[in-house]
Amino acid sequence: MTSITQSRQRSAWLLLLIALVLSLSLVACGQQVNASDTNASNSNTFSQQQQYQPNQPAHSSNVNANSDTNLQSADQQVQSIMGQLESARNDVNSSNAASSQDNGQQP
Amino acid sequence: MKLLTRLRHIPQRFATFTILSIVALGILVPSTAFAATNSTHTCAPTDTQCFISAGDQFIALRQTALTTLSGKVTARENQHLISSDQSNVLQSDISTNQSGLAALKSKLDAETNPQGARQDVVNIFFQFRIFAVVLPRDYRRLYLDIAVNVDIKLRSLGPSVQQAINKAPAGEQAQLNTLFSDYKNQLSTAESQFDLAQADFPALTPANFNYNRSTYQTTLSNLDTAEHTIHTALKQAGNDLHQIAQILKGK
Repeated sequence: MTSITQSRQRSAWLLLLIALVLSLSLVACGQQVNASDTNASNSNTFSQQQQYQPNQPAHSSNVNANSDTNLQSADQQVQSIMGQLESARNDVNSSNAASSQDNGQQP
Repeated sequence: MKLLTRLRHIPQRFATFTILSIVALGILVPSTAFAATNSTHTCAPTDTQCFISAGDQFIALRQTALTTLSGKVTARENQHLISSDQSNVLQSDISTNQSGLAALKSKLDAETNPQGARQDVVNIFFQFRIFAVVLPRDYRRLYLDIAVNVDIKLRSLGPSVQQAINKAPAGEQAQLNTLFSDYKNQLSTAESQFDLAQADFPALTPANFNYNRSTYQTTLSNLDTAEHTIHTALKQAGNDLHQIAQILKGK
């Protein structure tokens, strides 16, 4: 009886240890994925967009998924640049509005 | 009861007031961002110090506006929206004007007779034309530099867009190809205007503004037309890309 109880206890500890290792591994993976997501969402500058590689070699089963993901990412970056282009356009309009200050305003 | 009703309406009124204030600020702030004090200085013909004070104010306004432009150029370069070469062209022009204004300020501050001081003040306008010529021209150049780079970026995405479309379901191919065709056409439209726009800048000078106003205005108008076409085309290309991405995302 004692040996059976000890064996069960060992099995239980072993299972607990495996569960602990697995959960730690999952947490570590999750943190890495979050970190790469954060980097991706912050990459909205022109040089970082240039890091985008449309013809990156993809692993066989992920070809479609990767090209779609790249396109979605490129689209997000382009939309962000378009906002900055609009802002530059607004600066042009504002400079037009201020141009009359050079017309006959002398003491 | 009436008191309770009034009290109940206070937060609503406060919220309405807050919203209206924000809307009003939103309208007012952009319109005043470039505005400068437009006070008219009237000096007695013999009042040298009055001319000097007025001139110093005019110069300070122009220096501030040029510093703002310089900051924007630096920001765009840091965002990698323009190259260092493109940035250098603009910063060099800004620096030339700032140095010129600083030299004119030194001369003005040292004037001892009203005629000389008055002429220096006239030169702030006549020689530099910061608000009439330099800032409108340089902001347009900054815009064009960004637009050229955006076009390069969009053009470089073409092969990967085509690749993604080729892998899309057959039922979506027609719509995607129509969008992609428009995308390429819009980029071609923008590209057809780049050289035309670049060619306009050399004529946008204070000298042409002062002595050849009709040429100056025509050139500025041509540049505006080109940049408007570029802006519309690039925006449409961006919209096409977004639609393509949305369709492919949903497959």
